Amino acid sequence: MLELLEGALAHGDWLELRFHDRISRSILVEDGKLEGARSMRHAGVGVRTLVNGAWGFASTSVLTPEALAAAVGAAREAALAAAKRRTSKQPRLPRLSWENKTYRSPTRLPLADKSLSEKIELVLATDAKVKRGGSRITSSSVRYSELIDEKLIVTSDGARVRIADTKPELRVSAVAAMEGELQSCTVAEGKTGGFGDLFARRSADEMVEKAVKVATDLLRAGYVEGGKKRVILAPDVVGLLVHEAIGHTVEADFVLSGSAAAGKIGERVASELVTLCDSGASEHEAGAGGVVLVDDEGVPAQRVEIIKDGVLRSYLHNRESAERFGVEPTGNARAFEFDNEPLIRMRNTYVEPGTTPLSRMVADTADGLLLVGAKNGQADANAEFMFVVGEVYPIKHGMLGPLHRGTTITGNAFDVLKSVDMVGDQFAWELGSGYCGKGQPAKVDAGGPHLRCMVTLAGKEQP
Amino acid sequence: MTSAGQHLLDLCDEVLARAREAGATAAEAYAEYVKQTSASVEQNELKGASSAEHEAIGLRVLVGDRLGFSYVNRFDDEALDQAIEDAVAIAKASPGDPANGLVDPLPGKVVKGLWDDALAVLPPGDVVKRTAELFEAARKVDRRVSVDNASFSSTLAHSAVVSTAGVRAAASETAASWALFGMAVDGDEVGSFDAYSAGARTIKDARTAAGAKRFGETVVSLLDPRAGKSYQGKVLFSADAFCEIFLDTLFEAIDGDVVLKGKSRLKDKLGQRVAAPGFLVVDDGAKHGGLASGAFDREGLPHRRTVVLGDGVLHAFLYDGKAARRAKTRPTGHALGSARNLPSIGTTNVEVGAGAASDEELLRELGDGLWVGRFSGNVDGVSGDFSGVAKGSFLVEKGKRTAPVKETLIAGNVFDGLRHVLACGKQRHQVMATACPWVLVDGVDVTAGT
Repeated sequence: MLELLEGALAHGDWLELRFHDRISRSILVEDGKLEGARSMRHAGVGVRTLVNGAWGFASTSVLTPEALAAAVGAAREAALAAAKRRTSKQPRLPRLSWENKTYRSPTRLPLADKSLSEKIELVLATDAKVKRGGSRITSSSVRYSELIDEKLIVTSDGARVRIADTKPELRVSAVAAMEGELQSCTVAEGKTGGFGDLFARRSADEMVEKAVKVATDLLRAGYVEGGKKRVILAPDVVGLLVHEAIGHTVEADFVLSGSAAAGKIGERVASELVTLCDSGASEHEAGAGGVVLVDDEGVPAQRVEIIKDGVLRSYLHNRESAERFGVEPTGNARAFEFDNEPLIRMRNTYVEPGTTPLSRMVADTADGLLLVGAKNGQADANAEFMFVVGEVYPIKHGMLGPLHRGTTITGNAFDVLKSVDMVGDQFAWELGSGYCGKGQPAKVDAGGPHLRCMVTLAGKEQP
Repeated sequence: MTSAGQHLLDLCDEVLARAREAGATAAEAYAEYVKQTSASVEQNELKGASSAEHEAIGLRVLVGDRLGFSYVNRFDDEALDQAIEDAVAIAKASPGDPANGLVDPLPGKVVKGLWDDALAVLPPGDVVKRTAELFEAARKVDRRVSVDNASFSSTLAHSAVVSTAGVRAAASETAASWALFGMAVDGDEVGSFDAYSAGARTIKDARTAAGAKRFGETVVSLLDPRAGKSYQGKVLFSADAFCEIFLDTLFEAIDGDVVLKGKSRLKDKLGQRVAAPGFLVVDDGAKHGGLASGAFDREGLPHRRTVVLGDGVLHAFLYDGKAARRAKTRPTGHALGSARNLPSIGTTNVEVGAGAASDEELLRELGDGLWVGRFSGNVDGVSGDFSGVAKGSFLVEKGKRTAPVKETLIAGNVFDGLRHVLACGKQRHQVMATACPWVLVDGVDVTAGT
C-alpha cells in the first residue's frame, strides 16, 4: 500500500493520501430476538490537495494506480475551481518533523480473541438478563459494535504514518412499564482497546443491573422543580458539559467563525479550581473511547490544556489553523472514514480531578441536587448549552434523597465553570459510546470528577 | 433503464448466484453508485471543493430462517467473495427467527421528477459558484452575519435491488442540497446560531437566495436576547420545532417494529382519536419530484401515499417486510436505508395539513407567550416527554414577536400536545422533505432563565 500511495505523489502541489480500511461489526438483540448482525468493510483512499490557496478533495475505493491518479486529478480540478472564487490567500501549512512509525493503541484482550458466535452469545445472554430484571420490565435491547481501523497517511512533505486501533462498544437498554406509563434507561460503555478495556469498569451484568434499576425506579419517581439550582454534576454530566459547551467553542475553526471563546486566550473563563484538557491519550484511566495517538494529518496527538487554573490557554488545532494562529498543531485533525475530509475535532476531553471526596461535597450541600446520567446535549456558539440528565437526586441538609425523574439543564458553560466551588477526587471517562457529530461522526470521550456548581433546570409540577 | 442501472442489476444477479453457492437459501442484494460534487465555505471564506464517487453493495442472506448481512464498497471479486462469506457465516452463527425473510414483489407506478440531466453533469466550477452565491446572499443581509459553514452539493445516484424472491428493480435520481450554519457577531456579543438547509431534484428548482436571506435575517434578529417568562399554556411552534419535537416522535410511535415491541404509546390506538380534530398527517414516497421520493423502497417495494392521521384519528402503522411478517400484515413500502444497512422503517415526504389562520393570526391567537423557532433538547420516544431549550425563539407580546429569548426551557408531552393542538397555520414551510405549518399547542411548560 505504501508503494501505491507514494506512486501517486507525482504532483507539484502539496498532496495528502490517506488510506483507511475499516471493518465494523454490530449485533443487535431486542426482546430476545437477534434483529441484525452485520459486517461491513469500508476501505479506500482520501486525496487532499492545496492548490492556489484552495483545498481540493476526492476519494476512491478502487486501489489501483490508475484510480488513484484519477482521484488526484479530481481533487486538483476541484481545488482549481474553488481557488478562482477565493478572496483571501490561504496560509501555508507548517513544516513538521514527522515521527514515521506505526501507532498502535493499547489493547487488553483483543476483540479478535472472541469468535463471532461468542459475541452473538454475549449479546443474547445480556438481553435475556435485562428481560429477567423484574415484572415491570417490558422491553429489552442490547447492541454490541466494534470498529477495527488500519490507516496509512502519506504526504508530499514527508509523512509516512501507520495507525491501528480498535473501538468496541456495548449498549444495554431497559424499558419498564406501570399503569400505562413507560420509562427507559440505557447504560453504555465505549472504549478504545479490547474486551479487557470494555469491561474494565463494570461488567455486562453490572450494566444490566443499573439499566433495570433506573428504568424501574423512574416509574415511581417524582419531578423536581425548575429554576436556578446548586448542583453536583456526576462525571458523565461533566463530560457532556466540557465536550459540548466548552470543547466545541475552542475548536479553532469555530473560533475563527466567532465562537464565544474567540479572543479570550489569557482571560479568566472559569473558577481557578478548573483545569480542562483535551488529550489524544487516555489520561487517568485506560481505555478512553476517543484515543487518537496520531491524527489524520499524521500529527502526533498532544495533551492540550484548554483551561489552566481557570484561565483560557489554548484552542484545538489542525495544521492549517495552527499556522494561522502561529502555534504548534495539536493533533486534532480527524476524518471518520477515507471519504471524509479531516476536520478539527476533540479526542478525550476532561476536567482534572481535585481533592474533595463526593461524600464531603454532598455533606456540604444544604439544598441542591445530584445530577447523573448524561443522555444527550447541544451547545450554542455563545456557550449556552442544553443537556438532558436521566437521574436527579435531591440533596437536603447534606443528605442524598431518592431518585427523581430526569430533566433538562441549561446555562452558559463559562458561567457554570465560574460557579464551580468544589471539585471531586474521583475520575471517570463516561462518554465513549456513540459519536460526536460535526458534519461527520467521530469517536470521542469525555469525563472528569464530580463538580459542584450552579445551573438552571427545566421543571415540572408533580402530576 | 440506464446502462448504470443495468450494470448494478447484473452485479446483484451475480452476487446472488454466488451467495447461493456459498450456502444461502435465499438472498437480497442492494447495489448503489453515487457521485457527489460539493463545495464549502468555512469561516466566511470559500474553503474548497470535493468530488467523490462511491459504489457499494449490501447483501442480506438467509440460511433457513437465520439472517446475515454484509456490506462492502468494492466490486472486485475478492471483496465480493469476502462479503458473501461474511454474510453466510453470520447467518450460520445466528439463531433463527420465523420473521426473517424476503418480500414478494409488488407492481408500482412510475415516480416522476427524480432526474435532471443538467444536474447530473453539473461541473465543479458551477457547484463552487452556487456555494459562493449562497454564502454571499446570507452575508449581504448584514455585516454582522458570520457563516461558519455553507455548502452546496450535486448528487447523482443509481441503485438496484434484486432478490431470490423475485424483486428486481433499478432507478436513477439526482438531487441538489445546500446548507448554511452560522450566527451573528456584534463586537463582543455572539448570537445564537441558526441553520438552514434545503434541497431540490432539479437545478432549476435549486433556488437558494431567498432561504439564505431569511437565514441572515434570522441570525441578526437573535442578537441581544433577554430573559423569557415562565408560564404554562399555549406555545406557537415553527415548522422546524414542531417537526423535531412532535412529528419525529409521532413517526417513531407508529413504526410497526416499535409498536410490536410494546414501546409505542399508540400501540392500541389504531382507529382512535390521538390528536386534535382536523389534524392531518400524510406520508407520500411517490410524490412527483419529492426530495424523499423514490421508485422503490429499500426492499424494492413501491412507495405509496399513506394517511397517518386523518381528522386526528390514527389510520396507519408503517411496516417493512420483517415487521409486517411479525404483525401478520403487509409491508407498506416504508423500508428505508442504503447498501450499508439492513432495511429499517422510516418516513418519506411528510405533509401536515394546513389550517385556516395566517402566521400573523396565529401570533394574535397566542397573544402573550413564546414562539419557538428551534428546539435543542430531548424527546423520550417511549413516554413522549420532552424538555429542552427554545433556541432561535421569541417572546410574543400582544400578538407580536418582540424580542429573542435566552436560556428558556420548554417541557411537555408529545402525545398530550397532539391532543391539544389549537390551530395550524395556512402557510406550510418546507423542512427538507416535510411540509409543515406553524402549530399552536396548549399545555406546555415554559421556564425562563435569569
